[in-house]
Amino acid sequence: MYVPRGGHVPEDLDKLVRRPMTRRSFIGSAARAAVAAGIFGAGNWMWAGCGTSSGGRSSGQKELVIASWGGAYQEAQRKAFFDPFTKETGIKIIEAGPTDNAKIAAMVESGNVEWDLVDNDMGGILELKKKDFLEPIPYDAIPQDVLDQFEDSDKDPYGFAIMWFSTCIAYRTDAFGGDYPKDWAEFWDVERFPGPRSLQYASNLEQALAADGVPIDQIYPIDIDRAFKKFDEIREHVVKWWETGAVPAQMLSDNEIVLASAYNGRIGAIKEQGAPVDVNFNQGLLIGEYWMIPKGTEKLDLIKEFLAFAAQAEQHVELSKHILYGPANKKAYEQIPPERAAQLPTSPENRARQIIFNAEWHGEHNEEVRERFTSWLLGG
Amino acid sequence: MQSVLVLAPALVLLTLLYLLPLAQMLLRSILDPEFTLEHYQHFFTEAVYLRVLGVTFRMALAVTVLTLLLGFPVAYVLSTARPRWRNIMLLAVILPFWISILVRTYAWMVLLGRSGVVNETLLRLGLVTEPIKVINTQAGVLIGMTHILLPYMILPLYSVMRGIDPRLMQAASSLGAGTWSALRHVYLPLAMPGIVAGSILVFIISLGFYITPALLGGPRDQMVAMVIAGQVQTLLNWGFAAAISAVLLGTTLVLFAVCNRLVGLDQMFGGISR
Repeated sequence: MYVPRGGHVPEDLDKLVRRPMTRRSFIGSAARAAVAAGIFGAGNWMWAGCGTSSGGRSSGQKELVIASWGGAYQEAQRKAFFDPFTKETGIKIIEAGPTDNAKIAAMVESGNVEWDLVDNDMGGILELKKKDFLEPIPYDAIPQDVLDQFEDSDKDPYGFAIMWFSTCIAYRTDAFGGDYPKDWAEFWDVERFPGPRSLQYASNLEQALAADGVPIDQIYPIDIDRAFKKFDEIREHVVKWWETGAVPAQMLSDNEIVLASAYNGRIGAIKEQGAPVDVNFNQGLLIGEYWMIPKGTEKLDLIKEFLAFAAQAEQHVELSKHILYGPANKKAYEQIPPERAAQLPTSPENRARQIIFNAEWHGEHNEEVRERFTSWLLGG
Repeated sequence: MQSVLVLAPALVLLTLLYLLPLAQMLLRSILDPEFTLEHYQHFFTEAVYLRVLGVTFRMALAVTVLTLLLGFPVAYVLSTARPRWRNIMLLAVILPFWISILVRTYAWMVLLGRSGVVNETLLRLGLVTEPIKVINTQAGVLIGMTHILLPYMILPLYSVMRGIDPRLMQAASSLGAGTWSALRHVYLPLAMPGIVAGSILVFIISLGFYITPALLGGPRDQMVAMVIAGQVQTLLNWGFAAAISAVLLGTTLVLFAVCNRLVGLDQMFGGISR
């Protein structure tokens, strides 16, 4: 369907749109801002849900175009990475986004790469890698002592970890008289926790297996049949299979649902605004977020400088102050206050009770799972 | 010759910005990366895609019928109203065009949600004991899409109805026709070009709907646009996405060819241009 584009959202509305968003564009605030924009005669409004747009290019000054997910997450990155980097080096960061694998593929294919560096998840990185659309990460540009502060698995040849987020149990605190599901088995228990729910479209197979009693360290390789059998049990109670992180957060705050699988940072953001919601990290699914370089950038030297800067523990500490995602740099945790660390998905105790996302497995089975899921939804 | 010159800018624009990319996309469905028919084969061998197509066409048809039922009386009143009222009513019909589809969709969520305005009111008045389920069901999609597409039905109807001489209905009744009979034998045939134009417009736009069914629909309301989006954005299977789009386009064209045989669209639109 067509989406009106263009139009200008005044600065204050722009803030309204950005503030509550985490990771992906936030429908509610976006809609509200658009209503306001309509009332103020600003006319059409872009469905990007965040004020950023593709960075244009101008020559002369040194600049780097970085794309990320927009919202509160990108704002946190601005404070932790972009602004301090510009201050230190004089290199200007032009922000773009939101990250879109189809857009990146189109850019690389047409030889018109507008984004020098992209914040992406491993799922997207693997799909782009399959098509040979990525530059390897120049790890040689990063000091060895800084590299040692990262897990080996966080230093993929094509993706360098920034943070980890969790797709975990999210619930309304006012729905069950103070009680909440302690694990996915309880999430599946519609007797004890009645009410409409939302799960992720063509995903959350790991959570279904955990609900069926598979220990979190034995989830992979996923038994697809078993996961779908478990989905059968809860099917009637799942009113929405969400595709965008904004949806479960929005539905929880509207009391449209009482339970969901959701990105923890999203729920954290609406909780800070006063919504009666919370998350439970137990058996959550930890997914990494990485820097990746689209093939064809001409800014490799600047990218190297930026990556070396943004990998530092100080920058990761700063990031964790502004958003509830777990920094990938392990040394950062030495400086994060314990009460903040407890809310981050990668604090040692939270990490220990979660499932680590296996991107390779998903890269191989994505199509099959998606197809099967759609046909399961349609009833057969 | 002159008319060609006048049309030239529009034709060039259409060719460059619409026809060429469309051709590129169709080619992609058989050339990804080299010549292959596997995408089409996959589409027709996996039952799920035909089912999604079925859901999409059924939804589009239902929305077309609903907008026609709701739009016809509105267009009739518009075409017979005094100029002052007509302008106010036309403004009311056109105003929603200036509000984004996303906002109108979300407004329905606010109104019809479990704790929405409608349910809160019904519960307070004691008319229901449980919130009624509209959002995340097929009814939700139908309401949202009908609301958004209503102007596309009303405007073509209105433009045709304005050209119908009201004295024809008077003449019919003076010759002894009842209201229903006059409507059926005189008014409807004259309004038919508007009905067909509005219906085609609404039907075609419905086929590509994405955000409204995704937000208001239930788990089974899988429209083809969602499936295409998943293939494009998540899986980067552009060849297959192009094949699905091509099938959608082809099916639609075939449908219109059939329609044309049945009701003679050419004559009808000839009728409008006269």
